[in-house]
Amino acid sequence: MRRLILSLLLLAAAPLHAAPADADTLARIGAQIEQHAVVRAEFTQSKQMAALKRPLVTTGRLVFSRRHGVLWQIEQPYRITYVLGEERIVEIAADGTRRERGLRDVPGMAQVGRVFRALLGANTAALGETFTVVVRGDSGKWEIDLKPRQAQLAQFLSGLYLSGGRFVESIRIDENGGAGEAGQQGSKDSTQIRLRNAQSAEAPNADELQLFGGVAGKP
Amino acid sequence: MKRLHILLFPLLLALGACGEGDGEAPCAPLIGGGSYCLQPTTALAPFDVQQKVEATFRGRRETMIAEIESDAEGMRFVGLTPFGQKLLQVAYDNRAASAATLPDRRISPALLIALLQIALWPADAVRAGLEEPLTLDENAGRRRILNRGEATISIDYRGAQPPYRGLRIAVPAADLELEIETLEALDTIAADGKES
Repeated sequence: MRRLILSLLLLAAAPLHAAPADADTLARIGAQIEQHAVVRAEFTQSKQMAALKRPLVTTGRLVFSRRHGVLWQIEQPYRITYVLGEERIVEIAADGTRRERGLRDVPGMAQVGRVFRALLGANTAALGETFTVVVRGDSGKWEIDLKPRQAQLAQFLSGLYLSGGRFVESIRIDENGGAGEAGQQGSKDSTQIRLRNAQSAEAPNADELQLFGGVAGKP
Repeated sequence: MKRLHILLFPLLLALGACGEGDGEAPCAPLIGGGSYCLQPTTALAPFDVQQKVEATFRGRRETMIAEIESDAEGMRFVGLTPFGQKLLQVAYDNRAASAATLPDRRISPALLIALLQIALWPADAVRAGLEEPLTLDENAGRRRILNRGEATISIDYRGAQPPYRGLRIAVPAADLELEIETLEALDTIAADGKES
C-alpha cells in the first residue's frame, strides 16, 4: 500500500492525459469541485482484502478544507480523529489526547493525507499523465476511471474510480497483486469510500477550527 | 506509518523472529528461550474477529486494527492502520506459516501466528505446542508462559471465551505490552464496483 501511495504521488502536477472531450469535462468537474472552500460529509470506508472474508469497515465524518486540510473523524468501530495538514498530522484519541507528528515522522500517513486531499478536491492536475482517463456523464453526474499506463504502477494499482456530482461521492481504489514491500506476493485488495450528505461552507466552524488548531494551513 | 513500522520491526525481532521465509517449519523461537510449534486450527471453533490493538513497546505507543479469521483450513491475520493501510498479513494453512505483507522480511510469520495461538488457543493445545523448558500456567483469567518458573509471557483476559472481550498481553523481557479490545465489526457496504 505504501508503494502504491508513493506511486500515486509521483503523478502529482503532471499534465492531464485525456481525450479532448474528456479533458473538457474533467476541467469542468475540477472547477466545480474546487469552488467549495469547505466540504463536510459522512463517510463509509470498506476495505475488502482478498485474504479475508470480512472487510474492514469504518464510518465517520470528514471535513475537507482547501486551506486547512482534512479532518478524518472515525466514529466506528472506535473513535479516533486524524487532522491531515500540509505540514503535520495530528491524531486525537477518544479521550481528547492529542498527538502531533511531523510529516517526516509519519511519511505513510502524510502520503495518505496528500492523496485524500487530491481526490476529495478532484485535483485533476494531480491525477497525472500516467493514467488513462475515461470520463462519463457531465458535470452534474460524472464518473472518472483512472487506469495506470505504466507497468510499474499497474503492478500495484489496477485502477482508481471516482464518481459524483456537485461533490465527490465515491472513491474506489483497486489494488493489484504486485510484489509486497518485502518482496512478498501482494494481494488484490479493494478500498471503497462512500461520501454522503455532503455540504459546502465558506469556512470551518469554531469546533473544526479548534481541531485544525495545531495544523498550519495555507496562507 | 513509518513510525508504526519502526515500532513493529524491533518489537517483533525482540520477540524472537527467526528470519525464515515462507514455507518454514511451523515452530517459532520465543523470547527468553524455548519454542512454540503451531497447533492445528481445528483445536478451536471457527471464529473471525476485529480487534483494536494498542502496542506499547519501550514506552512508545501505537494503535492498529487486527483482523483474525480461523477455521478448519487455517488462520489469517491482518494488521491495518485505522485508514486501512495494511501493515502486516500472515497466514497459516495447518502446514506452514506464510506472509503476504510484513514490515520486514526478517520477521517470522510463524512467530506472529504462535503469539495468537498462545493467547487464544485452549490450554491443552498450547501446552502441546510448547517445547521444553517452557510450561503453561493458567489460573482465573490469567495465562502465563513460564521458563523454568519465570513468566516470559503473561495474558490477562476479559470475557469468557475466545476471542474474548479484551486481552492484555505482557512480554516483560521485550518491554512490550499489548492492550487488545474486541471490536463490533460493521456490516459491509455493497461492493458493487463503479457507481452508476
